Amino acid sequence: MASAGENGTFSESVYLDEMPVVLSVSRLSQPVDEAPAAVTIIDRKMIRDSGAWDLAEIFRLVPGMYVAYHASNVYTTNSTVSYHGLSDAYAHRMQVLVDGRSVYSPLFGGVLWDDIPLALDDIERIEVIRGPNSASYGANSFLGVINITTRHSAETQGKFLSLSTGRGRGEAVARYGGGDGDFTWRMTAGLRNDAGEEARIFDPIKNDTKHEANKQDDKRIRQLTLRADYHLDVRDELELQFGYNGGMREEGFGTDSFYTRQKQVANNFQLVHWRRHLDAGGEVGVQFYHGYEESRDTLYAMPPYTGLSFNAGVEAHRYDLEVQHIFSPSEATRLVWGGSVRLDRTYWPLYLNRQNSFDFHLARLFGNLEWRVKPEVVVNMGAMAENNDFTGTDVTPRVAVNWHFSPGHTLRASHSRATRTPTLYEQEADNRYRVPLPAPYDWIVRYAVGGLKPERIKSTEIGYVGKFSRLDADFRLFHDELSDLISPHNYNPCNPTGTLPMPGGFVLPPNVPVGLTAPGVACYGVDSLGSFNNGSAVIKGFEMQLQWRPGERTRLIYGLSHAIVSSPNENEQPYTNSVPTNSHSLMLAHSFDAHWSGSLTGYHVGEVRALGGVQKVDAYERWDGRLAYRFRSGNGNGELALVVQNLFDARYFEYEAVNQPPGRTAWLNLKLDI
Amino acid sequence: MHYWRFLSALCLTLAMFCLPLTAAALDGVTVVLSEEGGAYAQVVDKLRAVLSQNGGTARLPVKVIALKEGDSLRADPGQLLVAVGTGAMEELAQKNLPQPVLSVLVPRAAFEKTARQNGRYGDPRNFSAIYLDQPWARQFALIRHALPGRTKVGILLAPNSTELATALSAAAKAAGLVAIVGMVEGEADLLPELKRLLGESDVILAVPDPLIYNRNTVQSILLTTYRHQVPLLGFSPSYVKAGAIAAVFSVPEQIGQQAAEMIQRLAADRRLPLPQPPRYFSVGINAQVARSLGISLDDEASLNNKLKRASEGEL
Repeated sequence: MASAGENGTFSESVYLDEMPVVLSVSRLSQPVDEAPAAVTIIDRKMIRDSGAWDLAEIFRLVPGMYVAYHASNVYTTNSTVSYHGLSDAYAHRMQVLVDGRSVYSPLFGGVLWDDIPLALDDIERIEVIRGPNSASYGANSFLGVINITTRHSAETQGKFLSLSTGRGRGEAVARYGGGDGDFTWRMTAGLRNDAGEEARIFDPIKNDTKHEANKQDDKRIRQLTLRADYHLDVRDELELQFGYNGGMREEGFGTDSFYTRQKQVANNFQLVHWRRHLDAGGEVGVQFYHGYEESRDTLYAMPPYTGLSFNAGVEAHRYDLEVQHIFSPSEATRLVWGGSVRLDRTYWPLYLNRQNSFDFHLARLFGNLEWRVKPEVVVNMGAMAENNDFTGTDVTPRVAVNWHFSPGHTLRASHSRATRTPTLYEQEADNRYRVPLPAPYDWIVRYAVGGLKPERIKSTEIGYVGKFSRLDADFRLFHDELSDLISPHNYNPCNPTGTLPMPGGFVLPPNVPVGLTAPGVACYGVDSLGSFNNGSAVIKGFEMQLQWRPGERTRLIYGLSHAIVSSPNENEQPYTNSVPTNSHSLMLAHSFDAHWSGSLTGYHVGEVRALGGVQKVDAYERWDGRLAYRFRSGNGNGELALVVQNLFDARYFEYEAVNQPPGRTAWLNLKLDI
Repeated sequence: MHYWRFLSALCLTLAMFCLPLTAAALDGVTVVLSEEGGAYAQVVDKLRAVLSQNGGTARLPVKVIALKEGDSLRADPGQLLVAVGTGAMEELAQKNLPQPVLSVLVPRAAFEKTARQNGRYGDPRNFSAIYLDQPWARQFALIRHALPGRTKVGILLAPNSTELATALSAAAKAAGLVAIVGMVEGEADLLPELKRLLGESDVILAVPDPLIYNRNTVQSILLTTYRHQVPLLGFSPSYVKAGAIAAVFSVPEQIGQQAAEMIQRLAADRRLPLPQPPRYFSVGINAQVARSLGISLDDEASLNNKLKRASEGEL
């Protein structure tokens, strides 16, 4: 062991001691000009400067991303985040990982952003891969991938406290990091109360005021996360994580058949990741995690069915085991390959009409070969084979060439294919309500016919990444062909043949049961929906992001997205309007001196009509600002910040014309790092 | 005090009288190892291999003993003592035997302290060393060649190495670079000081000091510098493996080679050359880290050659 000799001299051990591998290949990020896809990197400073309150808001800064505070009156009043639109409530065409753990929900797909056990202050960086990336991240990395990395426990030592207060929102986060040398850990606890949107919302289309009472979107989020990193020896490393996120979430509008309600959410996960560092920069890793999503939720019917209630709760387990090996077969190549198996076990009685849980299995093999043909040319060839219970086996390839045609300037061309597996709801839904009056009947609102194929995408792009002295530029032209898109379509399970014409030439599977109810119970399914592979679309356009540092203390980040969707299925789904044609984001951050810093962030989001039969919402502009004062407190640092969102009190709708984000909202945040 | 001064004066006088009388080729080399195996054994294996090749002088018998066998050593002017590592160096310094002592695999600071404490500081011809430390000029040359354009070199120093600051600044200046020194008083201000330094530096040069660079701190130092996208130059192969972008260092075999050559060239009077930095060295790079930082590095061999040419005048 290294030891300081008496009087401060030291022995040769400082030179000879073995050191653990810290910056291992899986921890290092790929430089954007060598990545086989367009990447937006969001670092901690950007998260802070953006003044984001919710995790989902950060993605407004990513070109091509559509973010809405609410996703309307669906399963949860959660935010929606979607890349290249086809914006719907669940953004289920994008993969989201936190430290390699998929938080893509098995139920409706997509991500319940507020339910992830993750504190904003623990995030190290977020990489957003703009484009399909099945070869590296598996199916459902359909339009994009969000890859969130939390800070290493060795980097979060000591005490940290963050307190926020503002109208309708308050938060306390406390973190403690301990251990030393080979074993470090941290624990973060958080408590957040959020009253959500405004109480009164004027609907300009229906010309009335909805939600006289407080909108039912309050959240109480309780979180506890733990991360420990242990160097078993100089080659072996073990990472352990545990997380919990629970609390009350309000739900519902009180305008449909059920009263608004409060559900209790309790999610947790456990993760073990073992890595062995091999010679020449290789690595073998084995990761296992278990995630558990639980919501206790009872629906109470409105008159005339007062007294009727339904258990809308869910208990969903995910078990996932992955093995990955990285090595260099030769001087000029590097190979990443591996495999994984997953089990999703879901108990969801109301939506699946089963009293036992449903198991979904998935197995994958993946590989990517990176070949440096010449010092200035890198070729990436990758593929993934996936087998799952819903759609069988699929192989999705990707090839990309990065050419550094002059120092600091890179051209990239890539072609990739990806699939999206139908969600549990699309494939297995049987959502029915047994109603006793006037005579007992089953009101079926959703009935999955099954037999779905995966959605498919073929994506071709040309990209440019340039580094000038103070400017980083990224430009991308893309052409995405989507087929077999899954969408809901009228389907009467009580009388399947009466549903004709079936969408898109769909032929009913042979053994569809008819009259699906118990003896003596009538079947009502006239307005029922099923899911079908009945859509296709082409999205083309370009994106640009610029990062300019005119001086040491100033940073300007600009994002632009232009996308045009064409689809022959306009009558069934408004794909063509589901992506804003033009969107811009701009962030200017400046530190005035050692104490004062500020940032200003603006967004322009074009008109959008999200999928799912919702109304169109107009284009809007919005500005956020942040002013912070840093100070020393004892041994540590502190920062007091005032964040104002929607500085000019713009009134606009997101996602649907019932979701008006809060007007000008301000809060104070105090951070202490001791 | 007077007693010691008298004694050393007596020794010196005796030596002056004795040397011409015993002026003859070495009878042999006795190597004392601080620890068995590992780097210590690699030094001695190389030393033995070179000395048995019958180079400039006749083959020399090499006897290797462990530190605990040090008590068996007796005055034997025909022998040269080679101390491998700080432990052996201290033991031999305290013994104060008449035969010359060459210490290898020792940091310069450790050598100077031991020599001073045992009254052998003014006696380099009989108590000399090959340091493990690379000369500053060589390290700055590595920065210049590997990371051209990065001129602001951040260096963390602990209280016991503050005296290096002047030498470092001068060497940096000579290489056309600027040394920015951050002082670390204790473990608590290591990371705050590092973060401050990272704000001002293009590259961090790790200067070995166990108060700053040790197994407990390596993770947070490397993770923090990486997050700031600033490369760190290490001082050993294991730092390169751990995540330093590059390092210039001498492996035990190179130290053994230099020691053997030094012994072969000893004049008949067996007076050792002055303490010196390593003559042979290697450059290690971490290509993955470089790439992730968006830095294109030359390969190890060509950096090695460039440094060799640059350091030709040093020795």
